[in-house]
Amino acid sequence: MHNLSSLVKCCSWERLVVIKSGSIEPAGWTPATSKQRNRDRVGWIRPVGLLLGLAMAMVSCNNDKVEVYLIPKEAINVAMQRGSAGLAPLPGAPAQWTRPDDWSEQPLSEMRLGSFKVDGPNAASADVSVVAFPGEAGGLISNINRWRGQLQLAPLDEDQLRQMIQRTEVDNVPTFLVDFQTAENAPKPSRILGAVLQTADRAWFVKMTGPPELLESQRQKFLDFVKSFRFTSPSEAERPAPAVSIKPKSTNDE
Amino acid sequence: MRKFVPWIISLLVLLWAASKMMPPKETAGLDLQGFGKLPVLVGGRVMPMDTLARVSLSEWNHHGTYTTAEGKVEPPSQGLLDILMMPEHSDTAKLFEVSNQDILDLFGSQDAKGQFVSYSFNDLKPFFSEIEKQAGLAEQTEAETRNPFQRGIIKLRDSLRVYLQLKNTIQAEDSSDFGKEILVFTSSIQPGLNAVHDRDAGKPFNQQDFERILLFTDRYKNLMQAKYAYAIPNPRGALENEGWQHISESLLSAIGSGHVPFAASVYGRLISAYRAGEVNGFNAILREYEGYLSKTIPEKLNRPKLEFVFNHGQPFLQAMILYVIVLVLGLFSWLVWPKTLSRTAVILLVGAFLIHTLGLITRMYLQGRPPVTNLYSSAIFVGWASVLLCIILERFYKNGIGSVCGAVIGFVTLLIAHNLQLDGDTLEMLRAVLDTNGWLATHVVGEAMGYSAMFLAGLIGIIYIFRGLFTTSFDEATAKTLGRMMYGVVCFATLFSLVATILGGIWADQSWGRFWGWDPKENGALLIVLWNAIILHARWGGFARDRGIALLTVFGNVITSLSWFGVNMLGVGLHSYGFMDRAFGPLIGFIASQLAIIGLGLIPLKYWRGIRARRRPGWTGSKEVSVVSAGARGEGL
Amino acid sequence: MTSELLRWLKPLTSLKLTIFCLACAMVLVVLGTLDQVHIGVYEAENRYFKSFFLFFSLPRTDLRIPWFPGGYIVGTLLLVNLVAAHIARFKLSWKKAGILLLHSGLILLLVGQLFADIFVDLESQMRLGQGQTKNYSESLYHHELAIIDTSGADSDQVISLPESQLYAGNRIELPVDSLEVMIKEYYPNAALVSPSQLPSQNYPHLPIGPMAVAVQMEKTYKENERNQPALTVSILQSGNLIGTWSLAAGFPRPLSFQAAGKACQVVLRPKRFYKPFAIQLLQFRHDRYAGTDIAKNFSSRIKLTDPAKHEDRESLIFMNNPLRYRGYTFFQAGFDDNDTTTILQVAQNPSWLVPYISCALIVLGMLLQFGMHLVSFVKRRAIA
Repeated sequence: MHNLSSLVKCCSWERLVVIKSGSIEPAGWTPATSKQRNRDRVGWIRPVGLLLGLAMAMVSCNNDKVEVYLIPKEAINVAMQRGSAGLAPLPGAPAQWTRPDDWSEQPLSEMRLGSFKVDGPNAASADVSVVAFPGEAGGLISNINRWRGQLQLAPLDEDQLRQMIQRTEVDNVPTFLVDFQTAENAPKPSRILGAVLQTADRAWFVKMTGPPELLESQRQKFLDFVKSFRFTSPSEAERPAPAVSIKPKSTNDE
Repeated sequence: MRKFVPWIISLLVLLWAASKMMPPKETAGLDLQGFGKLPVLVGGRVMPMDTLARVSLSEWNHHGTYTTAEGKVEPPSQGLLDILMMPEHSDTAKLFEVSNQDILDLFGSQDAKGQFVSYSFNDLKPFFSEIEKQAGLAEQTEAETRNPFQRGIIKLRDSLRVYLQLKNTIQAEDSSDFGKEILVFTSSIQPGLNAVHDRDAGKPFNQQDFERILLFTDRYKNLMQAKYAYAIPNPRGALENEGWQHISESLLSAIGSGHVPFAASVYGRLISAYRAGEVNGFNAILREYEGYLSKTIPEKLNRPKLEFVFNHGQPFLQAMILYVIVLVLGLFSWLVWPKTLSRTAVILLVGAFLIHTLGLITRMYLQGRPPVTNLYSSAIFVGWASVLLCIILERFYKNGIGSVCGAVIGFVTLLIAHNLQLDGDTLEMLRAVLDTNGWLATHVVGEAMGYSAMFLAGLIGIIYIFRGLFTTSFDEATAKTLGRMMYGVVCFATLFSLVATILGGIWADQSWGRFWGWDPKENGALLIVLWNAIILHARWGGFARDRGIALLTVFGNVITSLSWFGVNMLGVGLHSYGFMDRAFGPLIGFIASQLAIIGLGLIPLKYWRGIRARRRPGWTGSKEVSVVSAGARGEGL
Repeated sequence: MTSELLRWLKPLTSLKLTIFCLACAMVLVVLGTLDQVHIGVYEAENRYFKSFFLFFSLPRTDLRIPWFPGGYIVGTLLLVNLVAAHIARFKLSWKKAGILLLHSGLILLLVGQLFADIFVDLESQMRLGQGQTKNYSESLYHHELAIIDTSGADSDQVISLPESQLYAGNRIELPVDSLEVMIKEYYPNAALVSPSQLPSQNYPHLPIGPMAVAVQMEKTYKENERNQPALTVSILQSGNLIGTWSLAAGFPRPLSFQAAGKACQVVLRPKRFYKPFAIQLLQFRHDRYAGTDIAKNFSSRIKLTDPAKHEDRESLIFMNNPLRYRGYTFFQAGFDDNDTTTILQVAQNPSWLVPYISCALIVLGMLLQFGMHLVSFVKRRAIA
């Protein structure tokens, strides 16, 4: 078919102008014969069709192809969808623990490496979370104060913290235990039992939140749980890739 | 003499209005005004106590009043005084309003049936745990899908929480004489610190002193949960509004510094004086505090004082009343004494406009922002711009249409604003993304002016239809004039709405990375632009003549109101700043009324009273066009 | 010949077409806005505005019937109508200068937006924790299955398979190393749960790790939620199966395997757009108004490093003040993790200047046009 530009070139502008006045009365406003009107109606189809074709051609070039490209070498960290950077790869999880019997496992969220629910009497329940961040994750004080903020408690300074914190060791890793409760006349009493375990390369935060009475009854279980943490060293986690094998591996053998 | 009558009447009316706006005279007795002017930091801005009182009360009950247990209505400042200093008294005041039947069922109330039932704090105390539990459950649902019970119970819980926080703003509410408590506390700081040091050093220490300081520390630490209003100003005044303290922080800081901040102790003495009923003592301490404030933070006092005067003056209320008077005069001027009444109407319209402007400018000064920053201020501004347009129209056409339109729009928008006041502090601080005066002044103001023009065009369209259908004063000249007015105003609306919408796109590009995101508010603005384009092109193409244009502009009212309020109700998108289901009913009602008017307008022209009147023999109407040809042509669409 | 052309073009110049298109546009906007409440803005944009037709699905069939023109048709018709009308009718005269300017501004705007939509559709985000450096941004809505060859000394080769290719039963030949990928199973959205939480042993799931399995979920359209797909994929080389793995976007850790002696990794993650430069977050600030939680200001102090262009400088990104660099624009979009993580929105829009120019043209045109009207109106009133 002719391309449009050649069509246009062969016509002069005057032929296109229907009404020569400077006004913008619509072209067909003088009473038209019915034959002409019919032709006008059918005439819609062709230009519209051409336009659609053009537009579709333009849009069909989309970006949905397989792409191949080079990137500079980087330590491929696991970037969690929503969590912070550099969380340890899951295979060979660098910490194990023993879950108390009456703690039920919950779906893992983006940041939690462990998540449990404890049910108590009167439909009370407590929530236990285990998360880990690289390094010191902002420091002990700021994290403790973050927990305090969750109970609407005022932040502490170094000296006050020293008085309230209990220091111990789990699997040769320095561990700090805290126990906070909302203020006396708080409308919604709540309590946090917390433990911060500082390994060589990351900080583990274990936190139990819930009604004060329930936490009181769970206190020993919480301590046992924290004491049950066992850390594998980083070198153990990154095992060398297995030798080439022809046998197909099953899912997640690593 | 005749010439001066309009001026005399208008002057009298304006003087009366001005007198109502004057700040109240000082009365003998407790200096309530002095208290009302004291600055306090709430919601990030420094406001007078009077505003805190009014805003809190209007969130608790829809009259915004403080009604004591005996049924007496006290001024808002008096109510706040009770809450701050004599909470056992305000606990009995009927402050909290509930109308939702399900909530009332919780309290075992059998009243209501759609009425508001007022409760006092003490009335609701037994149900606190239940209210807390229900609100907690309700909060777990998504905001857009909550039913009236859930919304109401959350609101009630929040109201009670604010009330509790207010009670503990300058004292611990359970103290029988906090002024004395502060003195005891002050005298126990040093001995207490000594005891702590001795204990730490292993030396023998005073057990009593030690325990006492520990007791106070714990008590004030607990008090920190009530932080909401910060009454103790920062004596160093400097950075913005940093450093204002809650009474708990203030007292705790005393342990470190060794002395209680002056403002904290002043409030303590005020409390003692108030509770003892010592009026003169109270006023004297107030004077002392005012002196202290003007020495330490003089620059922070101007705005609260002005705001206090503004609260009492209520310029928008006065303007509303004046607009109603103008409306009455304008309508009557079409029937009798045309010259006198219409002149009076115009002069009063300008007077009302000036008062409206004064209120607008005061708000701008108080906030330090361009005039439109939230829904409330948009209503004020839309009314203002419309009235301005109407004054200009009246100047050109001198047919009373401008006055009537100005009065109607002025009144309605101020009424809408008055209802929007119930959503909290109208001079609130702006969210981060709005913190840019340039775009606020151009895009938002331009958009609001577009709304003004749309409503004005729609109102002229309504006048066209009503005058044509129901009155005999609808000659050709009038009809044509109305048509031209509509066209002019629509052009104005197109200009402002198109430019403002594009500016909004550019602002979005700077802020969110894309020019157009199909956000509901953006779409609403686009609809207005598209509708204006349709009206203009329809007129140019001859598809719509005057009546058609009138119908189209009335539908423009529907589109504009949906764009202004409706999109907020969808609850999605980047613009859902104001969630108001209260406005849903009136909005639907308004839209229905406009559609009904369009329906009326569609009645064939030959049934229009105004048109028929032209054909009557002996009718002395316009000399411009002959009656017969007008009837024969049937006046197009 | 010319009458043929006339018949083609004449209907396009009609004012009736203008009004028809404007009215269709209004209908689209209303429907799209109302539907947004249910399907979210991204989906609404695709269905109503970035489409040719609105479709009506016959229940219980796969049939989709177009019943209304979509955004592309209406927009294109309007554009053509505008251009055709100008060609056909308008003469260059001072009287019409206002309308000419106005309409040219509109044409420029529409074309610019169409261009931005069709050719540049890469909205992405950059999450940076404090101190973190990244040289890529991630898509908000699309994921990729990436196969990375890490055997190179100083660079990795990434093969990215787009989401549209990830469906059960699809077999994709990769352009390198005679690798082939077979998708065994694909969940557009999945949740990770502990194995003990499955309702029954046979409940369909994908084993992701020792402590987690993926179960299929409904696709979400809510603004605050993202779909996190999961899949099972088999990788073959020259027809030989290397291994079969289950991956989930919710736990995007790369799995290693060997292909022809080369160390490789496979991972399911949000689609990445790598940049030739890197951005590091030095400090994120969330300023609030005194004594409240209302946000006063968000700002991110970042460091930009671009070795090729010798750039190594700090910059401050805050509300209404983005960073523009090499065709990309970085906006302060959000934050997370208790104010320690910043979320920057990355946009790429080479035609970003166009709206500014169009605005100027439109304002000028309107002022001219309506200004002339006003002047003549005032003159007439003065005479009368």
